[in-house]
Parts: sequence; structure tokens; C-alpha cells
Amino acid sequence: MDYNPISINTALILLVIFGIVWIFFGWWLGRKNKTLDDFMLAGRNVGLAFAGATAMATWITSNTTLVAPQLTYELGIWGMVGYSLAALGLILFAPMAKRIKELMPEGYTCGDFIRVRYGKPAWIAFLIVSFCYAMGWLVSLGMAGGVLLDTLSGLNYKVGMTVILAICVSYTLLGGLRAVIATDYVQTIIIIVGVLIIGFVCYQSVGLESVYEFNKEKHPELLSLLFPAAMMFLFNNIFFGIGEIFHSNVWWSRALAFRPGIGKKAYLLSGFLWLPIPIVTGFVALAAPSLGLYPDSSDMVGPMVAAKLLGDIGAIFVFIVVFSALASSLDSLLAATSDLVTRDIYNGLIDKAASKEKLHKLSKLVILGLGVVTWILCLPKITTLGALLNFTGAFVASTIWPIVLGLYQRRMSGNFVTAAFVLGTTCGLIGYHMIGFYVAALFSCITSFVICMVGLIVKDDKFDWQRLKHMEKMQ
Amino acid sequence: MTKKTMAVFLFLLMFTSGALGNDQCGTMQCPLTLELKEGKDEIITSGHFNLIWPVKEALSKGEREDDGPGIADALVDDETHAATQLLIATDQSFSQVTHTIPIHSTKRKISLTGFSDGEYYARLFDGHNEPVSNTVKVKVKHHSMGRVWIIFTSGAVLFALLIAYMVAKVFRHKE
Repeated sequence: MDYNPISINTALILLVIFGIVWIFFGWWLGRKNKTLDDFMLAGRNVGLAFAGATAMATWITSNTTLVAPQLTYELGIWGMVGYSLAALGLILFAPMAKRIKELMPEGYTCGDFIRVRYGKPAWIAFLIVSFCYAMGWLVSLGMAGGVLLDTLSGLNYKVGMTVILAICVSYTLLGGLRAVIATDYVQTIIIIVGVLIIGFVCYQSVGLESVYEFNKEKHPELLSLLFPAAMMFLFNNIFFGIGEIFHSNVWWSRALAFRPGIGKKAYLLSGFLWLPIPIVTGFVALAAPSLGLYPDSSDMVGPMVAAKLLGDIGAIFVFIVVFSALASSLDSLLAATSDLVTRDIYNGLIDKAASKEKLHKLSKLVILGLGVVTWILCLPKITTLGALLNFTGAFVASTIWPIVLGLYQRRMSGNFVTAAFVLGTTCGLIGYHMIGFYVAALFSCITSFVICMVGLIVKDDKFDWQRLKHMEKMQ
Repeated sequence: MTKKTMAVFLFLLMFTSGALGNDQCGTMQCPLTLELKEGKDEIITSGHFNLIWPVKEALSKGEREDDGPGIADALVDDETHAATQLLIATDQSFSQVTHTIPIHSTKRKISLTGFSDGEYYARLFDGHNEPVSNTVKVKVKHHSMGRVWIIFTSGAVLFALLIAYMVAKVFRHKE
């Protein structure tokens, strides 16, 4: 590294302090968990303040603090705007959160919905899509931890990644969703204040004019509205963001955990508050070339610029902000993916008669197992964060129309939805390899849409909404 | 093949590779090998590319010997090299330099962005402006606007349909 404002010792001390604080917090909150509902869904009684904070903190991930700058650095203005419009996912999910809570008050996961609404083949296809996405996101978060510490302190990527992953797995294991939501609340405050300060200092130190003039001369495509790859990326990222939220159990489990009437408000609030965050973090990346900063890897650009602007002490602050963003997503994803594996795969396919106590114990083992698998996959840093995340876009964008239509249209049939998942994902992956990461989600969503429309025209499933009320068991 | 033919062939091979790749730094072999991470002949379609120059074992030295070599190796990546700047030019003789980027002695890769269509040449230099790496040619050719407009319009139409459905059905839905 050519700029390591934090010494290795300071980085390790920070990790130890953060580790102790978060793990203790997780243990303290986890003492109140008595049942599976407590552990998985925080007692289904989360109020507006915590609900809004957890939705926002989870969506402000390492992606927002590391990948938004990366995509701005690679794709310029459209990259920044496109990333920001991922807020539409939260905003459009708001009314659906209300509908989900009303339709399936006893549900646990999005897999429950797909299983009852569309049948077993669609459910299996959905689980594969969802699991691939969850692992992609988990690996990107683990990698982000390593990248963060490497950028700020020069600490070896593998060491940083391992320590951050261990901390997040530990406190999620101890506290369940209650700890996840509570830590999210604290982390949201840290993130918002931190990002605003970094953005303000960048604006004051570098200025819009010098950023514009330098990039116009040296990196003209970044400012061009006719930047070809970036134009393709714009709608791709919108569909990626919407697909991520519509299908993921991270958001469904929150919709089910929130008090009745809270979900819609919480998601709208968090969506509108999140919207400007990538603009701020993206602007920071645009300033990099004019500061003479060219990162080793484009996903390092955000913390690199922030640390340069804020100096040695500021770099510690950057570490805290990005670490909070990363931890708030990693814990949520671990908890939600564990729910999906425990409820859908184990309880749905392997042991249908398992007691809630047994599932409670199993969900903890699954969190641990997910942590280990993530660690193994993170070790060879095979690609950048942005490229990895957009790879999963091919999977998730195929779920947008099946989820929306499944919640509001009785006609939509399971066979067509299965085809939409499979063929949508396939076309998305073809686009990813043939053209670039910036079209994967778009190709997937277009294919899935066409199949769903054909399905609506040729077949009427006449689904009975009451079947969702009591969560039918798998036959 | 006769010995004479072989000698001529080898001479031409050396001459050609030198002219295209500039593997020589003065009369010496370049200490650093600069590579386009995306692949030698890859055409860059997004204006963004990565250059790497792995440090050869014999030339590197640790800076943190006081930490103990074992611990330092595990915690940090600190091999050093002679390069102090990366020059990017639009011609192979580096008379039209477009970018001069300072390089730290431990840096081994760089991510560059925002380049327009064209051919660019990149090479590492030391503090005395002497080349310390081969020259790498990077060809940037963005996607055709015809393809871009088709994909962009498809995305816009699909997005409009989704928003229309959400507004008409989802946001107005009453239980």
C-alpha cells in the first residue's frame, strides 16, 4: 500500500475493542431470547425507531461505503446515480412489507411464501437463487473487511478478513435478530454522522470545480452522460437493488418481525434517508484522481480518499464507520440466511417434525457453519467487490416479477415462476460473461418478466390467499 | 532448419519482441514486468483497467525487520521496488504523455479509470526517469452506442412497467 494512515498495532487494537464491545452487546441482548420467535424474529414486536434504523443500517452495507465509490470510480456519474437509485428497492418494498405481514402473520421466511404460493419446484429453484445470492453477499462482506484493513493499515487481507468475520459471527450467534437490530440502531447513527462528515470534508478540501476540471481532462468518460458501460449499468443496478430486497429473507424477516403497521413506514423512511448516501460516498471516489490517489483495486478507493482527507486520526474514524456498515449487514445476512437454511431446508426437507427448541439450536450451528464457509470462500480474493456483487444480480433480478405478482395476482402459476427463476438467472449469467457485470440483472429481469407475462395470459392458478394465513406444511 | 536460418530467425524474434514490448531497460533486462491484469490482448470496453507488476523475489527487501520476519510476512505486504512513477502515453515513444502517476515503492498494482477510446502505452520509471519495466499497450474501445441504446431503452421500458404496476396495484392496494 502506498498510503496506510493507521499502524498495524492501532488497527489490531481497534479490532479488539470493537470485537469486545459488539460481542458483549450481542451476549447481553441475547439473554432475553427464550424461544425460536425471539431468536429469529426478535419476538415479532419491533417498533418504528428500531425498524427504520435496522432497515437503513442493513442497506448501508460495505457495499454503500466501498462498492458505491468503486462503481463511481469505474463508471462515473451514472455509477453514482445508479447506485443511489437502489434506494427504490426499499421504497417499493414498503407497501409489500405491509402485505406480507397481513398475508402470513405466522410466517418465518420468504421461502415459506414461495413454497405455499407456488409449490415445491418453484420453492427449490428459489432457494438455490436465494442461497447463491446470500453467499455472494456474505463473501463480499467478508472480503470488504479484509480490503478495509488492507487499505487503512496495510494489514494482510486474510488476517483482517478473518478477524472481522469472527467478530460478526460471534455476536450474531449470541444475540440473534434482537442483537442484530439493536446493533444496527447504534451503527446507523455512526454511519450517517460519519458519511456526512467525510462528504463535507471532501467538498471543503477538494471542491466540486477542481474535481470536475481534473476529471474532464484526465478521465473524461467519468463525467460523460453517454458513457456506454455506465448507461447499461443504470437500470441494471436499479433492478439489482430491487431484486435484492424483494426476494431476500433479510427484508422479509424484518417485515415479519416489525409490529403490525410499522413495516411500510419503516421501509419508506429508510429508503428516502438512504437515497443520498451513495451520492456522498460516490463523490468521494470522483475526487480520488484529483488528489493523486489511484487505488490498487477500485474497491479500495472510498476509504483511501477518506483516510487521506481526514488524516491519521480521521482514518480511525473511517475505520469505525466502514466497520459499522459492514458489521450491520454481515450480522443481518448471517441471521436471515440461517433462518432460511433452518426453516426451509432443514425443517422443510429433512426433519419436518423438528421441535422449535431443536430448530433454535440448529440455527446457531448454521450461523457458525455459514461463517466458516464464508471464510473459506473469501480467502482467495478472486475478484473485486463490485464484480462479485453484480454477479449475484443475475440471480436476484429473476425474482422481482414472481414476488410482486405472487403477492397481488391470484392467477400467477408456479410452473411459470420456476421457469422465470431458472431462465432469468441463466440469461443474466450469459449477459454477465458475454457483455459485462453491468447487464446481468437487467437481462435476468427482462427474461423473467416475459415468462411471467406469458404465464399470466395462458394459465389461471386461482390461488386461495387463506392458504398463506396458517403456513401449510410441505406435503 | 540450418544453423544460419535459426540464427536469423532468433535475431528477428528478439528484434521484433523488443520493438513491440520494450522488454529492455537500457541495455539491461527490466527489473519489473508490467502486465495488463485483464489479459494481454484484452480490449477494454468500459474505460477501466488494472495494471500489475509483481516484484521478483531477488529484488525485494523487507522494511520491517525489527518486527521479526515471520510476523511481518503474515501481517503486511511490504516488498519494495525501484519504480517511482507510472507514465501513460498515447504513443509508444512516450512523447505524448497523458498521465504521470506517482508510485510508492511497495505498490504492486493500480486501478485506472475513465479512459476514452484509443490506444495507450504504460510504463514504470524510476526517480531518474529511467524505465524499470516493459511497455504495456492498452486498447480501449467502448461498447457500440447501438447496443447501448437497445439495452438502455429495454431497461427504461421495463422499469416504467414495474413502476406503473406498483403504483396502480401495490401502493393502492386495500385489504
